[in-house]
Amino acid sequence: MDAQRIRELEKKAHELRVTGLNMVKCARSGHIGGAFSLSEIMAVLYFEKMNIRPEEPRWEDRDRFVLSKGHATVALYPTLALRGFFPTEDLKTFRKIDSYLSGHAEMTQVPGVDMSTGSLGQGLSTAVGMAVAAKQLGKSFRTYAVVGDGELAEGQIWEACMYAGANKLDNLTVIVDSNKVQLDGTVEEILDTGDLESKFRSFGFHVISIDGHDIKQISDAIDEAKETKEQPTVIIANTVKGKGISFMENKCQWHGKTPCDEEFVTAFDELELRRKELEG
Amino acid sequence: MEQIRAKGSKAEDEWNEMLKAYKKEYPELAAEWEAWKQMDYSEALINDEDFWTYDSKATATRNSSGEALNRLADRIPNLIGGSADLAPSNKSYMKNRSDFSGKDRSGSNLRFGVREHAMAAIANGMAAHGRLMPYVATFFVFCDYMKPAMRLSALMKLPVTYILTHDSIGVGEDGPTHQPVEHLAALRSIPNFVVFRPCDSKETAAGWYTAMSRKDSPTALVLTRQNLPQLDMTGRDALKGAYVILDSGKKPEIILMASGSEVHLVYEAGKQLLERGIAARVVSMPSWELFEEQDDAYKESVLPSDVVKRLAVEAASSFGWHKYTGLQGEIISIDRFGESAPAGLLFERFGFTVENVTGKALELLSR
Repeated sequence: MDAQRIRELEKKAHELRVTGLNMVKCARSGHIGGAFSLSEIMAVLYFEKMNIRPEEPRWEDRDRFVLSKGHATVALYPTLALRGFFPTEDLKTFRKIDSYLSGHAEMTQVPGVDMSTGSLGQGLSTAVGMAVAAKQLGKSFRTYAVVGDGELAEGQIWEACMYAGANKLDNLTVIVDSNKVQLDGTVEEILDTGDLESKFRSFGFHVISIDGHDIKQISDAIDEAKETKEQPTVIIANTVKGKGISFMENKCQWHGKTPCDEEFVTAFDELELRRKELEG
Repeated sequence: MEQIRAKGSKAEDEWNEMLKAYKKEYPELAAEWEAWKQMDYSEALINDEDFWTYDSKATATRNSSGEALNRLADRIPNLIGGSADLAPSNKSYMKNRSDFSGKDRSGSNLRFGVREHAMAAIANGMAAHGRLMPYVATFFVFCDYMKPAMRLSALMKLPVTYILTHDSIGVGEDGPTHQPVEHLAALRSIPNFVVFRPCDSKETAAGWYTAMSRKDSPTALVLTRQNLPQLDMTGRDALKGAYVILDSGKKPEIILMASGSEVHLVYEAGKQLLERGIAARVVSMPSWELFEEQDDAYKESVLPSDVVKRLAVEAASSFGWHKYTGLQGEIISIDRFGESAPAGLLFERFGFTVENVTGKALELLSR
């Protein structure tokens, strides 16, 4: 990936943050922290890697995407809208009555959503089901699942991992948004997940650890996963919760809190500075 | 992005070309692929007498289900599924298929291991993908382990089939940890979720037919471990959720209703009442949800609103039955945890006998 393309995707990630923050401002509700840790990952997946058709969201051979950490709709909806699945105008209806853009995404309502998520732990298993379906039917699409590091406490995650490893689902890429912070504190203080790499490795996964805000590293890891045979891949993306807004970064308070008016002003100012920097 | 699109289109073109060549070379297999794509077997199944005809000897509905499933496996290539380490108990294995594994991708028996929650969520993924008709199996009491995923099947409108066996105190000696009580009420309370508890082989076939023909909702088949007699009047009418299996032909004085393993009890009790000259009606009610989908005229014809003497019998929590029995009705149920003992003895102890049903009915009539 050349420097120009990297810069384009960095800008895209930035646009996702601005769009997401506007969405939350409009709704006066939404999860910013765990969405902003994902911006670069979403930009690379949706604007570079995934084989999808926004004009035909249910196209049978599309790559599947499951946002297992379903509260990160502040990352998902802007991505889908900017990628052309639905009008960006609709983002103003986020979390409002009669809108199709619920707090957590519903597959029966939102074009481009492959699973209704929000019940933590289940998304990865359902992604495994999609990967099994592809193998059984001889289809070549890939399934991507994004899980949170707090979500790894769910037992079902490891039920699914054991199954995916044993069945050699090499068409499955799991991305752990390892932002080290969950709702009630840091992952380390709540229940230290320890050596994640060897945990996943022992479940039969090919493991790649990256800086989850580095476009090139994300892109290379996704490619490496595609090349990996006989094993599912997990990309442990080391990220920063609330990335891009200094007062939110690494703070569990910003898991689901809505900023006050002054905080919104500060946040947009910081994003504007970053925009200028990227335009350079 | 254009590049990606071009790549995708190219792959699709190649696939279409390959399919064309394949159709030419293997017309029969190509026809099977077309059938796969359609995934609509309801019309073919409804008139398929081989699917609806069963042996007349007493058997557990889990056995009937295993039989029905294997008949379906011969007819529906899209079927895929398995159990959470209980295939022999759940009767959920398709004998004409191999096991799916890292080595055999064509297999369609899935051996999940003891992982109910992931199992149900994996089935959701297969159903969400389309083309495949997934089922999963475990003991009914363990539906608690997969309830969040069952709820999502309903929310996501995915036609996943749940085979849930060992459905009551009929489990016997394994005791209260393995005896469902509140589970029927729990599943019946999920929106867009069909619960089907059949009373014999033909009703079990109706349950499977329901599961195979519904496109936008999951179906749970709630099945016995213990043997049940085959009844004469049962069959395709079960697709309406509730129907009359014994009647006096006159305006009913009392209506007896039950699901699954308790239907034969109310049937025998109904016969005793008829012999005494009482205009009793017996209704088999395998599925509340399917009954609620019928029009008002049908519902009124089965449960006329001016018949207020109603007795429901179900070896589970009474929760929810009052809707059908009304304030003047009675329910023989189990509103406590079970016991560890032989199943026959437990049914007696908890009042699930023809004598008790008849006695309760007479008491109700004398009020």
